[in-house]
Amino acid sequence: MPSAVFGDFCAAADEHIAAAVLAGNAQVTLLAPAAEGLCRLVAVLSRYCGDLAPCDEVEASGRNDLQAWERAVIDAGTALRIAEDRLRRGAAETAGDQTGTAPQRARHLAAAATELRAGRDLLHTHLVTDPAGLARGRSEWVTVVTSLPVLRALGNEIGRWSRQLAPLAALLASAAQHTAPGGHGHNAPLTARSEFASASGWLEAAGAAVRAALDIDPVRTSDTELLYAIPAAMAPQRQRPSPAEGSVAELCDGIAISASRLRSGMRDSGERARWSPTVTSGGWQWMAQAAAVTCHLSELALRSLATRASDLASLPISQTQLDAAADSMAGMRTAWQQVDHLWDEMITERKLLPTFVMTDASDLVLRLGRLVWDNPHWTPAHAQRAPLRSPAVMAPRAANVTAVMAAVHQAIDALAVVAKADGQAVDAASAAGRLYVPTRSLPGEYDVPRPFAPAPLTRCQVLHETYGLALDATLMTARALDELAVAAGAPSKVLALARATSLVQSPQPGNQNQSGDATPPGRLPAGASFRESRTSTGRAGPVEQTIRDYGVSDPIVLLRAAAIDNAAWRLITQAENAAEMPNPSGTSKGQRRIVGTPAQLAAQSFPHDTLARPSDQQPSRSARQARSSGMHLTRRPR
Amino acid sequence: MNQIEQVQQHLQAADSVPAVLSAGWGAFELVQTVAAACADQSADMYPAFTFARGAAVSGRNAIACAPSMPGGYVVPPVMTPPAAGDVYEVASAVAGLASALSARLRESAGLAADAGDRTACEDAALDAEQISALLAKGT
Repeated sequence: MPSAVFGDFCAAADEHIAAAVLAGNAQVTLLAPAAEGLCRLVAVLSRYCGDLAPCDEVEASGRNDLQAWERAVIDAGTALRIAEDRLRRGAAETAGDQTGTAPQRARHLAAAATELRAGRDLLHTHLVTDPAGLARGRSEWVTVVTSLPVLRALGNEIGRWSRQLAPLAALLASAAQHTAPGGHGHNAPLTARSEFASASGWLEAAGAAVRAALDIDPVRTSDTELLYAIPAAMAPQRQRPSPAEGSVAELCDGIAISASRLRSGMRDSGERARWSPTVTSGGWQWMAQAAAVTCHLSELALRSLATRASDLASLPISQTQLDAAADSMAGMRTAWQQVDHLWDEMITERKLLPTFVMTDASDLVLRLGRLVWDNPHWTPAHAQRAPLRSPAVMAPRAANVTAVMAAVHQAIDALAVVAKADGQAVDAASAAGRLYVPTRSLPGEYDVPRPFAPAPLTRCQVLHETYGLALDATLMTARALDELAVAAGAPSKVLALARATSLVQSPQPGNQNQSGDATPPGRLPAGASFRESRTSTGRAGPVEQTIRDYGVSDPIVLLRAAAIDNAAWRLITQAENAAEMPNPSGTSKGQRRIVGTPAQLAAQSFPHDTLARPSDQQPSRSARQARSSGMHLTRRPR
Repeated sequence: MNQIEQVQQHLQAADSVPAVLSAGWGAFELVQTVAAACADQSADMYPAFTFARGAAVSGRNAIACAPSMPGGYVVPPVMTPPAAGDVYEVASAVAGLASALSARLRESAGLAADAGDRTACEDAALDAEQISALLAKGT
């Protein structure tokens, strides 16, 4: 069962509000329950505005740097609080009118309030209040929850609901007027009528405040999609991989669940790494290996889809795009292998202890393996090896190509979270003095009378940088898949929107553009090069940068800009390769270096000469990388 | 393949807990090197060799903690990458070595007087069993 998302609560609330509004006048038989239901609903809307507002209305009155939507939610919040107060007074005035069962309208209003309260709770799962009383994020979605696109989308919903509810408050006022002498509302004093009428006016005012922002900064479809897709910051229940989970669709669903659990499980791992005995070097190494294997399997899946893409018409993504993403996956695997190999020479004080995240990563590997290989019982073991699943069986139709690509997207997005979290956790463990190296692996000048010694700073830095490279490579691949997901309209495109949103800076006054230069919008920055792109360097390319300089924050527009930069970089690279410009060494510039077989490379990564001596000087990154692959544990006389 | 046989002979000839630990160290080192060299030789064996390599590192680290682990320099193994077609045979041979290693470590765990040696042998035996399970051809 998929986990709840904010859109589920919005949709349910929408239905109840529509039902309450559509109920005929005759159904306002009991004023008090309807007024109380409406009051509760307006109170929830008011709380939403409080959550979204950057400051209160008093501070806002002295500020001229607020964006249109920030101003809108402050103004709407003020109006809704007043409306809530008026409704409460009106409800209190009609409190004696409590005979009979609550009418259907009142039940719909109460149900809508409950749904929206649950939705608000869902959003709040992404935030936690620390002991100092400061709110901080507790999931990777927090940047989305607090983003401008979500502010726009949620602000728009609040305005829409306010406008829908205003006539209902007016109807209550009318009912109070008509039923004052005798009838069901005979106990309602005339003040109730004016309170409900006033509430109606304030609800209209809340709607108008939002409408003003809409004129300045319209809501995009992608904003609403993003808002509706926000999940709770809690993992879906584990579904153990089973051979019965045989269809490609089931495997893809399972991959999304495993990926979601993995993302969720990585939270706060940095904090735990300082002290938890369950966080071990063996666990980090196993995760790096699982990441490398995930890349390997994902690459095979994408190659298979690329083959299939050439046979399928009307596919929104091309064979070339899928092959390019697969190529990116190969580079990512190499980066994770480097992390894995570094752990050969470094340990924590405890041996590997299995953890929940390892279980989820293991589920992910199993499901990807069963997707790629034609064996429902596949495991990494030699005994379970099988032929590749035929591309036509994996993706008989275009929709299946999208589904499998989305599953791979989910897996790689989860690995991006792993790379970041494990990198931070390793830094924390390093700072806490939890990393050790075998004394035998240290030069003779280290006089340590124990088998293991604290890891030298240089070794910790190499590890830190290697995790950084793995993160860069993973993000680069994830962005390549972002583009494909958006182009194909895959269900995983919300991951792309979330990533793009987290990159968007709020256009606050005084903010520099990302590169910090002062190039006027519309003109390429001086020295701008199409060698810079999300795929090549992970940074904004010239088109994306120019769009950002205009203050554009629409994730779809930014993704399109990044795609143009990536395409330009690929074209230039192809042109360079084709040109084959000679160089002094006699080889062509575009010619690929002959590096031997992968196994030869693997063998080269195990040199057996003496270790480099420790130095207080910081070596260059390339030197450290070279050294990292050269570290080897050897036994020496003690 | 000769190296695997040599290490296996060394392991069988070990006649004390320290000797088994020393031979076990060499065996785990060899598995690590072989797995790294073979992993990229065959797409379907990449996961098995990758996780087997990790288990070898874990087993070697477990042995390193044993109080009776002798000092002394052991030349690390040098591995020539096998031809692609030989990868499956190499995997089976390594699985055999790991199975033998596990048996000797279990045996040593029963003989060891020191609790630290017992724990190290048992932990390393589990890793060896994992290597065997990953690389054995099966029926």
